[in-house]
Amino acid sequence: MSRSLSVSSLGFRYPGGQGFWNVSFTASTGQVVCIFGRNGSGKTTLFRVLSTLIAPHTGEFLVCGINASQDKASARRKIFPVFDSNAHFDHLTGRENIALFMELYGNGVQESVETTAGLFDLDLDRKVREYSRGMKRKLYLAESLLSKREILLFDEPSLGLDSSMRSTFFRQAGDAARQGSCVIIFTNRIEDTAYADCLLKIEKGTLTRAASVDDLLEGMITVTISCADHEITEYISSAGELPDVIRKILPLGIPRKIRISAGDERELWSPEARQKVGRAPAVLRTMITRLVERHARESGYTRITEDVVEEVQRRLERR
Amino acid sequence: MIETIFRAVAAQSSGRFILKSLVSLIFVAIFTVIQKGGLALAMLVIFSGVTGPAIRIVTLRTSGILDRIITTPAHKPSMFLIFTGVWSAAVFAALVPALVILLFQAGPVIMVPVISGTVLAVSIGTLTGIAAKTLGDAHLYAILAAVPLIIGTLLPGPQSLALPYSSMSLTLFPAISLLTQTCFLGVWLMILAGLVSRM
Repeated sequence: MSRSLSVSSLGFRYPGGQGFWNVSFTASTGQVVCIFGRNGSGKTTLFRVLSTLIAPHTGEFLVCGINASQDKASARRKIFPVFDSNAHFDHLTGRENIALFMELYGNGVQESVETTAGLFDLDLDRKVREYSRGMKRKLYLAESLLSKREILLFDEPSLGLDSSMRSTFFRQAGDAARQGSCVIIFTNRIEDTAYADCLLKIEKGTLTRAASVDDLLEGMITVTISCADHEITEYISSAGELPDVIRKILPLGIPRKIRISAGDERELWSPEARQKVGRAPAVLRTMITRLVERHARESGYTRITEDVVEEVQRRLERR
Repeated sequence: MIETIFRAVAAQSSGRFILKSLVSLIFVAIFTVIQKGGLALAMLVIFSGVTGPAIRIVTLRTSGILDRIITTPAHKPSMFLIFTGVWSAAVFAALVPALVILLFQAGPVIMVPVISGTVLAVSIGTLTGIAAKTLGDAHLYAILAAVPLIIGTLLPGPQSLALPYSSMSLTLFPAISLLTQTCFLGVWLMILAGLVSRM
């Protein structure tokens, strides 16, 4: 596998001190790399630097061997960035938008447009202003796959997509990687990381390699927000980040239900703890489960292990 | 593709285009009565040439399209020239009914300063749009850019040789003046295209 993207000691700092620093990693052809980070972790700034929109303050990155800081034009021939805003010419049709952007990328109109549009269930003859947010996202994702670039960069690709479309996109992104692209996904959704070959975590501007999804979730609070026809799950480190998450969701619809937990039931309970509670008489099981969860919540535990269950047991015995 | 590019960049609906044409026609017709049709046309070229593209660029920026365009491998000076060309055509087309009135008065030679004046105003508007971050900025910068052009047009002096708006206003078209205007415009566009290539 050849190296598509090689990032070394990259840094960008905003005047307020935010940004990222000393970021180094490599990504190869055929790989799907996922960079996971919470809101404000420096994820989008890193995306903007790698998409050549802004120049880094320190370090450098090579795009298929081309130093992007020195030869921006050549580097741009290898990259297709999908920004988090679904930017299209609203008064043109989906087909015209695809044709225009493919022209800008020097690809010309392809025969595969219809096939790709079919995969994403897109009506290309409608004006983009008539599209829903999810449709605009799908159009943008379809354009990225049609571009056939060596590096496909995605900033929160699944925002606004329903679950079936999300899996369609990730399947297609995987196919694009197998056909010779390097796919890099920037996300704050844990579900998206399931499709990655390599997991990286960006936190407070620093990038680290993550061994597993559990590594990514360490110390995070799960927020599930239900809108009109969407249910969105976000991960935050403190309740103070909740307004930002809601603000981001608002364009998709008014939140109707917000559920906050230290992970879903499967992640909150370790199998051993679940087994231990399962040994209790059936009539008491629900009550014990609730007591353990309340104890975990009050004590600030993010995961219920056998020890937590034993703590509750000891407390009950003392009483 | 040319038609798609034109519609994408200019984003003019037919209703808006007709309204612009009508307003310019009435404006120039009124001023022609008091022998100031040329001046009225010059003012229209300056205002619509500077503000239109400036606002369009900011709209493209706020919607995220500008970021998308910047990160494409497309040659940036060419993109700038295409944008300026499309907007010049859009501004010029809306002024055609008004221009017809002056064609009878001044003759076809007026086309030279009108075309160069439109391209100059649009290129300044494009630069203004690139510098502005918000629509408020765009309006402010457009006014700040238009004021020197208006002053230069109204005041007599050596600048009137290079400014096509003075020729339009005075309906005087000496060959040296038209040549200077065209050369000045060419140099100006090359400088701007060079600046844009750094994006």
